Amino acid sequence: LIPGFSGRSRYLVDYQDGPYHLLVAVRCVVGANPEPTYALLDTAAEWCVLPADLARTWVEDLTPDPLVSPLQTRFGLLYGRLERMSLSFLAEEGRDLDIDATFFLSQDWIGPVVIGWRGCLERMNLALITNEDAFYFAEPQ
Amino acid sequence: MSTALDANLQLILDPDPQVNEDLLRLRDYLQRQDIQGARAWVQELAARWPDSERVQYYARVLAPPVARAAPGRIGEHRDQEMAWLKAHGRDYPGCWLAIFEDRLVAAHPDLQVVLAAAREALGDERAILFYQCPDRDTP
Repeated sequence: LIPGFSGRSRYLVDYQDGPYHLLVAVRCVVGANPEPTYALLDTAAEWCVLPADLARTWVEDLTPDPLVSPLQTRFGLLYGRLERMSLSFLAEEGRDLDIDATFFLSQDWIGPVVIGWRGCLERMNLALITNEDAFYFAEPQ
Repeated sequence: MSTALDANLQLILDPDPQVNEDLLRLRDYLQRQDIQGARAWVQELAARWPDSERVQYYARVLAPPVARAAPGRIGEHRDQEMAWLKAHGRDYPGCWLAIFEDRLVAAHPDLQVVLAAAREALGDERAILFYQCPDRDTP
């Protein structure tokens, strides 16, 4: 492991997921669901986002919250609500990283799982080592 | 859409009008994308209105994330699943996929169908779960 990081995994690179191009997708577990999935790592995304049917696994009511500003996406504005959920980045080497994260949930989102900045990446350390397709992560010092 | 949302505002907020006034200021922070301001303000509100479910909800979801390295877990490699996904995932648009090692365990548009099939087939082993988005160019 690179000094300063506690875990490492390989990321999925350059994957066409329907109309979405996942440039970098990292393996993670969302909520209480034990099955891991690949999620688009997007430091430019405002929030983490879940596909609606995955979100409904934990939150039945996805009614948009009028206090929460809509997300701007390439397909237009997305109305939704914020919920606190657990997220774990799974290590192939070292230790997993567990995050108490905030997700934007919308009944209209049919895209991929997105790992965004606010409520998640903003308070962790991460590095991408491109010659080995490796995602390094750690809790902040 | 925004009109409908405004009409729902009073239904969603707190029954106490004073709390609502404070929550509307929180909305202003969020609309300005001032997350630091929103966090500072909602912490004040959480102390001011400890019995308001709405205020406590916003304090919870707007709190900064907390990351911790998990103790004692053993890492696992999933290269086979990644290779399968790269080779075949696009053949299943609009489906949730459960992939284990070098094979597809289940594929279906309904997430619950895939989860049930994966657990029946694999028991305590865990498949990689992946949503292959539909090919259409609109949400």
